[in-house]
Parts: sequence; structure tokens; C-alpha cells
Amino acid sequence: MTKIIGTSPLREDARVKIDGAAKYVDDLSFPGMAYAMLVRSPFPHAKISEIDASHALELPEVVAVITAKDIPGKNKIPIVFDDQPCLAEDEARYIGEPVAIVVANDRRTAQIAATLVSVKYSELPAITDPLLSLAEGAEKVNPVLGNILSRHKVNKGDVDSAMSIADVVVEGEYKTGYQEHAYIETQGVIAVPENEGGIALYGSMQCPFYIHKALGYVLGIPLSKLRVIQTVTGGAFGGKEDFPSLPATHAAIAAYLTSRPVKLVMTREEDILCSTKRHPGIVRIKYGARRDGTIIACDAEYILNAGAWSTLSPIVLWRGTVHSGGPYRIENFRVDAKAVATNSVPNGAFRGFGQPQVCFANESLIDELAVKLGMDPVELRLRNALDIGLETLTNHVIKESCGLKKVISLVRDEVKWLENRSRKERVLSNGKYYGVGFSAAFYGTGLGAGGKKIDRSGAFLQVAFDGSVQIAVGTTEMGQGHNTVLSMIAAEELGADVKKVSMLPIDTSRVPDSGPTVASRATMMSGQAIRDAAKQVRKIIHDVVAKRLGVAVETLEFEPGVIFSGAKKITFEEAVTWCFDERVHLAAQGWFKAPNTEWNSENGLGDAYYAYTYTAIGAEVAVDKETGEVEVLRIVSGHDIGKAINRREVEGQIQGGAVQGMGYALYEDLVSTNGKIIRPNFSGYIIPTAADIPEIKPVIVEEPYEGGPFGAKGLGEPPLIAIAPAIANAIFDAIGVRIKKLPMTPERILETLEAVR
Amino acid sequence: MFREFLTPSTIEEAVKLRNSIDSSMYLAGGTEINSIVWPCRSKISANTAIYLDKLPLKNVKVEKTKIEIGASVTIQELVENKSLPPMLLAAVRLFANRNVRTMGTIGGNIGGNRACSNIAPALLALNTSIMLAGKNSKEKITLEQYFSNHDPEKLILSIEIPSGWQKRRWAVRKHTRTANDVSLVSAAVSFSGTEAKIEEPIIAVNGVVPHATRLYELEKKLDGQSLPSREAIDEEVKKLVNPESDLRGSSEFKKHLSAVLVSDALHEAAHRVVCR
Repeated sequence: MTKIIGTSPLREDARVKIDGAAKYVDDLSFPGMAYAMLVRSPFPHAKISEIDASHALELPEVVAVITAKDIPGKNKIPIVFDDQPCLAEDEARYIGEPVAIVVANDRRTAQIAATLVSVKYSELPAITDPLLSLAEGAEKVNPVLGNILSRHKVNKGDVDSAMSIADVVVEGEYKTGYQEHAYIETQGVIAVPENEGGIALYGSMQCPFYIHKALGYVLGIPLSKLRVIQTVTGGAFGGKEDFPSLPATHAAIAAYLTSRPVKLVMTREEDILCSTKRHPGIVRIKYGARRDGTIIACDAEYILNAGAWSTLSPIVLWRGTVHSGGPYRIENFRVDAKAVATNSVPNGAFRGFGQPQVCFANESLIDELAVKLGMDPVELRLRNALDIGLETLTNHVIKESCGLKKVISLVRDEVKWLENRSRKERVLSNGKYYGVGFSAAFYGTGLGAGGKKIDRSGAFLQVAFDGSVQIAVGTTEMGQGHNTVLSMIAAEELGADVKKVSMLPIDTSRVPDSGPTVASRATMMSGQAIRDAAKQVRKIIHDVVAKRLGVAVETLEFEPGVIFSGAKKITFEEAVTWCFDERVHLAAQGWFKAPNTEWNSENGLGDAYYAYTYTAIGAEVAVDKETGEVEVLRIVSGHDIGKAINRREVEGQIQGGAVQGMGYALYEDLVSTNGKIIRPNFSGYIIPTAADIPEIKPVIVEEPYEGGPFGAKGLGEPPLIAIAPAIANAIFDAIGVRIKKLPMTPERILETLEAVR
Repeated sequence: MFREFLTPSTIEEAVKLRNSIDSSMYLAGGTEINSIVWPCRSKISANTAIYLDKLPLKNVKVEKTKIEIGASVTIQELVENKSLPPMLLAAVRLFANRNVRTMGTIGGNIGGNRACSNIAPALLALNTSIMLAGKNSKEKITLEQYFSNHDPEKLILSIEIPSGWQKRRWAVRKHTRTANDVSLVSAAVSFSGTEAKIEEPIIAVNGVVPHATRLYELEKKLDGQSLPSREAIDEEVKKLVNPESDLRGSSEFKKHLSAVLVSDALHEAAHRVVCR
């Protein structure tokens, strides 16, 4: 019986973030610090024939202007493929691509000097539409990988035959737009030269070890001379996974060449223009089903607009591909997915990672299938839902921890599905139309077969003389409650007081590489590594205590802060004092390796992931048929997460994800014309505000997963993934029209209504 | 970007500075200026800010015949002033969020003369006048005249709402993407009489031309008539507005919205109990 797990201790970082004491990267300063600004391409595709920095260098406060030829190491950013340059050299391939770094004594001079660097461009034809990029004979957009940056297929069973015998077939094409992360803190780094030619890089980030590797690439010096320090990070949502390597390398090169600390903090507009975003997607999908509602075939095509460079697109695409048919057992499944290069800003990681696009499509189409079958959409989902003993789309047989049917049923009850769905009075007192919608999803926790090589985590735990506990892991706190949750796991496993557990600040020279803080993996992976370390230290302590108490070690029991054997009882602190008296080392390294997965990349079949989080969403809306406005009245968001380590944090993730999902569904419309993002600011890019947030009711299901800490699976991303289709299905229920493009803006809803009139 | 920041202590000094320094702007709460002089997107270069904080423009005077509101009164102060016309209170409550309302002033909102102000049509529907200080003189003109012949060099001193609003029916409307977003289209209506006989209607919209405006032709058609159906009002409004398409919405969408908002507002006003 756990004592700490499942409770809700306060966030250790909450107070400093609320009272303003927390130091973000732009709050930091170093003696002699200079400022960097980027010269960026104004063209989506252009040849660079000359870069003349003479006018910029005439300004007395300008320190240096750095171009590709000055890079001491490789001009490449390592992510999946090494195709993206740190600075464009001969050609610029998207608007905003970095061409030169200007370093000045102050930020304003750097801004002015960046405008004085004269770059001779010859504009070249640009392809900004992924379908044109796929056309035969299209100009090559990406010089290394071509126009298809990545392609994944799954082929299971015989889709064509199954479709031909299906009683009912439905199909549709769905489109989704860009989504900007809109983290509160924009991208920012400071590079500081250190002794013996090293560089310390401070910054706002998710994955310090990605940056560590990138610095080694561009500087051409051993990783042992480089360290990356995460500063307090004001939100990330995937946007600080792959992208920060780019500004980090710019600042590091500048610091290395000028021997001065260099700060590079992006403005909001620069950030929206130039940083990675959620990929716009096109999904064509078809379901075939028997009259009784059994889905027998699914055929899908998935196209992502990746932008000019591949970044994480291959992995984003892969996750979308293996989830594209939904959380259902389908005997015959085929998908062909492509990440396509265009002359536009590269897209990358974003909460959900390729799944929100396919989920909007498949969960909208499931509702269309239900209409055609004359079946209740929830009933249809339950009939086909994954369960223990059934296999996923890629033939992964689920052996444990599958609460999908339970979560669907609980959400159905909580949203009063049957009652609300059969409401006769659909027009509310304000003249708006009421509707209720449902969706379901599954989410492979961790990196799975796609990122197997880096799916491991390390932890270091040591106990101080006063019984306090210090932990070092390489996964990061970025606002999601990571440190609090991991402290709870350590305290529970060790038998310590959770208030006395602290996480070391992230510095790659002091914490183990625990893999990236992505894929909803940190609680599970670092949690298990910490448990491993804590168990080792607990054993050391218990051996000493048993000896001193004169009891067999097997008789010892513990709770947070206390160790006892029968009537004999001592505090954790006393036990630690005994250990110090005995001169034993109260420290251990923990390690956890994700379970092995079997994967056949030829046919796309196998264990895509080792465990899945299961989701069901119920959404109630009111739609104004005159203005097209959609008011979300209530969201019920249910997730089987194995175990809620910190219940309040879990509810926070669920609520935050629902709001971000609402933004994706209804408001967030990043307009891009010929590769140029128009109005890159929050007056043009509209995100949900506090006043738009409805009641969000979390439903937590705990079907424990043996491989996770105390049964926990991942939760960071699932709360966003299935929000948009639930709202789309509710809109359909309210006004009878199917919106197939995100965001579902009022104008888009009115156009669709008009088209069916 | 401002390079010079001046704080005059009299109205005369402020006007003199504004007229003698090229590329200067009046600065009150800053919410309008922030959005137009941001270096990356500015089409307006303003080097000098003339900060109005020291000027005596922060009073609200409620008299029998009129209400006078100083230009530097913040929108939030209006929200909290229960002696103001309910129509104005409804409009300012719909405006942005508390943070912006606490900074933004009524003078700044009017002086910005922007299509996204939902307060402007409400003020028009309240028959508001505006007091201005120019290079050589002060003047009082209607708000409609101010919007049509906008002169940013003139300092807004105050606005004046004449009595009579107590006996008029009213309604305000705005369409935004989110609750805190600026409005795409907004409308405000007021009239005397009843649903059976509308008298002296004022119908104002914003977001469909570059600044807030009254739909005089529709006002004339409705004066002395019973309230038409929503469809009939829609049709009339659509004939009178010709908004431009932009990133926030197409011309057709804005035209449609203006029709819906005006007809909604007229029908809501007709059924409102005149409370004062």
C-alpha cells in the first residue's frame, strides 16, 4: 500500500514561478555578455551569392558577423537525419532560415546591425504546397533527402478484399492546420566560454542532451568540454525538443569565436515565424464494416507538410502512422504515410506528435460510420475497442493494462451520453444549438520501436547526513510537474519524507543522460530509474538498521520517514545517521531500459510501443447557426494512465491538454502565404483565453502497467489528442454538418452550413 | 520605437509639443500604441511619446443633462462606475480583459479609431460628442464627425453623453474568436418608442468600414415603423456595408455578421425593459 503515490503534494516550483523569483534565461546575465541576432532569409527559396557585412561592422558596438564559412565544426544540426544546416550557405530554403549571426554589445545594436548585413539573393522557384512537392517532376526541395523526407507503411491482412465484402464503407478527406506552441517564454539561450576552450550553454529547453550533441557537431570539440544547463523553462509542449539546438548552436558559435558570453533570446514574432510547429496534415481514410458494426478494414493515406528540413518529421510521421486507424481491433489495415518537403518553416515536435491530425480524421469518420450503420457512436467504439488479448493496428497483442472500454464507459456516463444525445429540445434559451460528441484514442507511451535506441533513463540518488535526498536525472521540468512527481516516486521507494527530496538542476556534466523529455515518457522512464537507485540505497540503509536493531532485514517494514520491525521503530533520519556512523555510501546509480519491442519495418507490423494510454473524450457544445460561433460547454476527459502518481498534477495535465486541444480545434489559425507566416503574433494567432475555458471534468482510470513506476503510464500528450474530433462530432450533433478542416472557425462552419443548404 | 518620452503638465503644452515635433504621438494607457508602433510591423514611425498622465483628463462628471468622461479614464474605471448608461457599461464589459481594460483609456480607444473597437458603436448609439484641443483652439464635434475626419494631431479631452439615453431601448453585440480577442464586427443600437413604433433609432457598426459608423439609411427606414423581421433587417444591412476581406475574415463573412449582429441587437433592444 503506497503512502505518497496517489496523493497531491504541492509543486515544489510553484511559489517561485508565481512570485516572480524564478530566473528564466532572459533574467540571467554574465560579465561581458554580448547579444546575438540572426540575419534571416526573406525568401522561401533563393540562391545566396554574397554576404556583405561591412556596413554592419562599421557600427562601433558590433562585435562580429558570422556566416557559414566561420563555423568551426560541421554546418549541420543532428536530429534524425543530418540534413539541416546551422546557417544557410549557398541556398536559403524557407523564409526565416538563418543566414548569418550578428553579435553586438547590446541587443538593439544587434537588431539594427542585422538589417545592415547585405545578402545577395537570387530568388528561385518555391514549392510551399506538399501536394505540388509530391507531383512528378517537381523541383527538389530538400537537397539531401529529396521531396519525400520520410515514408512509412503498414500492411496488415488484405484490405482490398475486406473492403469489397464490407456491408458499409465510409471515407473522407480531412485537413488540419499549423499549430504554434505558444509557450509563455520564447526560445532563448546564453552561451558562456569556459576554461580550456569549453562552452557552457544555458537555456530554455526540453532535451539538454540533444543540444549537447549539436554543440559538439558545430564546434568540433569533444562533448566532455561542453555542458548544457537548463534554466527555468516557461513551457515547451514539444517546441523546445528539437528546435533549441538551432539557436543554441548559433549562440555557442558566437561565444566560441568572440570569447564572450552571448545571449540570444527570440522575440515572439521571430519565434512564431522561425521555430517549428505542428505539421499541417492531410488524411484520407476509409473504413469498411459489417452490418453489426464490426470494422473489418481501414485504409489510410497520411501526408504531412514537413517544411524545408526533416527535423523530427520522420518520427512524428511514424507515430501518426501506427495510430492512424484508431484504438480499435481491425483485421485488415493499410496506411501509406509521407512527410513531404516544402519551402516553408520546418515543423517538428508538438504535444501529440503526429497523432492529433490522424485522430481528427479517424474519430470523425468513426462517427460518420455510426451514422451510416444507424448505430450509436459510443456503442460502435465499444464494439471495436482494443482489449486484453486483442491486437493493435500493427498486430501488437495487448497483454496488460488496457482500460479503454472502462474509460469509454465512464466518460459516456459522466457526459450523460444517452440522455443528452436523445435530447428533444436542441435549441437552447440563447438560440444556440446543443450538441454532444465523443471520441477515443490510444497513445503509445515512450519512444517505442521508432526511438528504441534512446529509450532508456539514468538516475543518481544520494542521501545527505540530515536525511534529505538529492536526485539527478536528465529529464527536465518545463512546467509539467516533472520534479514533484519524481520526488514522490523517490520518497515512496526510499521511505523518505517527500518534502526533503530535491531534484538537482539540469547540467549535462552532472546529471545522467536520461533520454529526451518527450513522448510522455519522463514519469515512466526516469521514475523507474529513480526507483532502481532508491531500492539500492534503501537496501544499504535497511542492512545497517537491521544490524543495529538486531533483527532480520526481512522483518523490516517502512513508510515515509519511519522504519520499523514489530515494536522497534526509528525515523529515517536516525537511520541515516547510523549509516554515516557506519561509513557506508548512501548513493546509487539507477538505470532503466524500455522493454524490448519487435518491429518489422518492411510491413510495418509488430510492437510499435510497449504500453498504451487509452483516452475517451465527451464534449458538449452550443453552436450559433447565425454566426458560426461554437461555445464549448463542457469537456469530460478520461484516460487510463495506469496509475496517477500525483492526482492534482494529472488533473492539471488533463485540463491543460483539453484547452490546447480546444485551441487546435476552434481558434488557432496560422495563416501562411507562399511560405510566409502572416501576422506572427497573438493579435493574429488566437489562442484560447481563461474566459473561454469550460468545465473540464477529468476521469482517471488506473489499469496498472507492470513496467511503469507503481503501474504508471504516460499522460503528457493524450489529453490534447482527441479533443478536436469530439468537438467536431458535437458540432455535427448540434447542426448536422461535418467540418473536415481544422480549425473549425465560425466562417468555416457557416460556409459548410451554406454548402449543404 | 520611441526614442523620446515627454510628460507635459498642461493641455496647451501637450498640444504644442504634438504640433511642433514631427513623428510624435500622444500616449495614454499604451494599449493602442503598443500594437501600432511595434518595430517589426509598424507602418507608423513614432519617435516621440507625449505622455498624458499629468493632464487633468481623469474625471467622470455625471450631471442632469450630460455625462462627461475625461479622455484618460480607463476602461476598467468605466466598468466599475455604476452611474454610467447601462449600454456603455455593457460595451466596456465586453471589451478585452481586465488587464487591458486597466491600462487602456477611453480616449485612446477612440483616438485609435480602429475597426476592432466595440466601444465606438456604443458611443455612437449614445449620441456622444467629443471635445478636442487642436493647434489653435478647442472644439466640440460629434463622435461620428471625429471618426469620419480623423485627425490624430488633435488631443481628445473628453467625451460627452447627452441625457435622453435613460428613455431609449438599447443593445450591443460583438463577434470575436475568443472571449478576449478584439472584435471582428460589433454593433450597437438604441431607439425610443416600442417594437410597434421605433423612434429616432441609432444603428452603429464597426469592423465593416475602416472606422465605426452609423447606418443612416437604415435608421431613416426604421424611424416611425414597427420592428421588421430579422430577415428584412439582414437584407437591408447587407446592402449598406461593404467590408474588406482580410486575414480575420472574408468580406462576405463580415457582411453576414454585421447583418446578424444588427438584427439581433434591434430585436433584443425591442424587448428590453427601459429601466431608467
